[in-house]
Amino acid sequence: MSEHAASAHVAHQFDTAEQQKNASVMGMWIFLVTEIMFFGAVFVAYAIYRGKFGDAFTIGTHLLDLKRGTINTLLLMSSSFTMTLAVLAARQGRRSQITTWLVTTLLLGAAFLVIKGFEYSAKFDHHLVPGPNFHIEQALAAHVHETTATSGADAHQADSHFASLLKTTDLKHVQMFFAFYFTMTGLHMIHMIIGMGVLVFILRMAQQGRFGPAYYNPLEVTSLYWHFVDMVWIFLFPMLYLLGRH
Amino acid sequence: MKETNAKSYVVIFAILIALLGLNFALSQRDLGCWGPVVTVGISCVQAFLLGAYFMHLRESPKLNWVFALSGVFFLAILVAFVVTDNAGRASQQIKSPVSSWELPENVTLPAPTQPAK
Repeated sequence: MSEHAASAHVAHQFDTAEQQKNASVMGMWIFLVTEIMFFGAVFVAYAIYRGKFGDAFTIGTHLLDLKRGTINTLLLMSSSFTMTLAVLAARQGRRSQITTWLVTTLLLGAAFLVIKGFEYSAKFDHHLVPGPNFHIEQALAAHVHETTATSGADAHQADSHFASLLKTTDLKHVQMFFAFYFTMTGLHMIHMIIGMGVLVFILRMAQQGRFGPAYYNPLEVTSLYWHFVDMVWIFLFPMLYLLGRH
Repeated sequence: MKETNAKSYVVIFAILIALLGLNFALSQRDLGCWGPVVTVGISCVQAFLLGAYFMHLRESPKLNWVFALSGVFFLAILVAFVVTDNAGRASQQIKSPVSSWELPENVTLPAPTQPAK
C-alpha cells in the first residue's frame, strides 16, 4: 500500500523514490556550494581588511549591539532545530507535527528579522551607515553611556582600553567595517527572507497533507537551505560581533 | 542508512548552544593572535555538527559528502589565492600622480634630444 503511494510521487525519469530523493538533495547541495562561494568571498574580503585595519575594526565591533546579536544567534539556531524536527516528523508520518514545527521555525525566523530591524534602526539613528553622513561620535557617546551604566572594575578597565584604542587608531577605517557589516548581514537577511517565503509554500503543502514517510523532498531541500542560512550566521556572528571584544 | 532520532537532535542542539557559549566566553579573553583562530575554529566545529546531523549528511549517500566537502575545497582555494595575492602586494600606499601630466616626486625625465637637421 505504502509502495503504491510512493510510486505515485516518483517522476517519470526516476526508477525509485529513493533515487528521486537523492537527486533532489544532491541538486540542493550543488546550489549550497555556490552559496558557500558567494558568502565565502565576502568573508575573505572582511578577513583581509580586518587584518589590515584591526584596531579600527575592533572599534567597529564594540559599536555593535552584542545583546541583540546573541539573541538573534540563539533564535536562528533554535529555528534550525525546529526545522530538523519538522523533517523528522515527516519521516515518522506525524503530519500535524510537521505543521507545528514549520510554524515555529517561521516564528523564530520572524523574531530574528524583527530584532535585526531594531538593530539596523539604531545604526541608522547613530549615523553608522557608510556614506556622506557617516560619523561615529553619536555611537561612541551611546557606547560610553552603556559601559558606564554596567558599573564595575572590569567595565572601567575595558573602557580605558577602548579609550586608548580610540586615541591611537585612524578612525576612517571604521566606515569600512560598517560597509562590511551591512553587506554581510544584509545579504544574510535577504537569504532569510527568501527562505521564509519558501517555508510559507512548504507550510501550505504540509497543511494539504502532501508530506509523509514516502515523500517529503521539498521539505528536505528547504531544510538544507535553512540550515545553510544558519551556518552562515554561525560564522558571521563571531566574526563581526565577537572578534576583538576583550 | 542509520536514521537519527529526536533525542540525538536535542543532544546536538545542546552541544551547538554550548559551543556558542564557549565562543562567547573565550571572546572576552585576550588570546592574542589565536583569538580569530579559536573563534573560527569553534564555528567550524558547529558547522560540521550542523552539516553532519541537522543536514543529514551522516545518513546520506557518500556522494553528498563529496559535494558538501567540495564547497569547502573551493572555498579553501579562494582563501589561499586571495590571501597570497594580497600578501604579495605593496604594504605601503604608492603615491601616484594626481593627473597624467604630473610625475611622481622621485622621477626626472631625461633631457630632450635635438632632432637631426
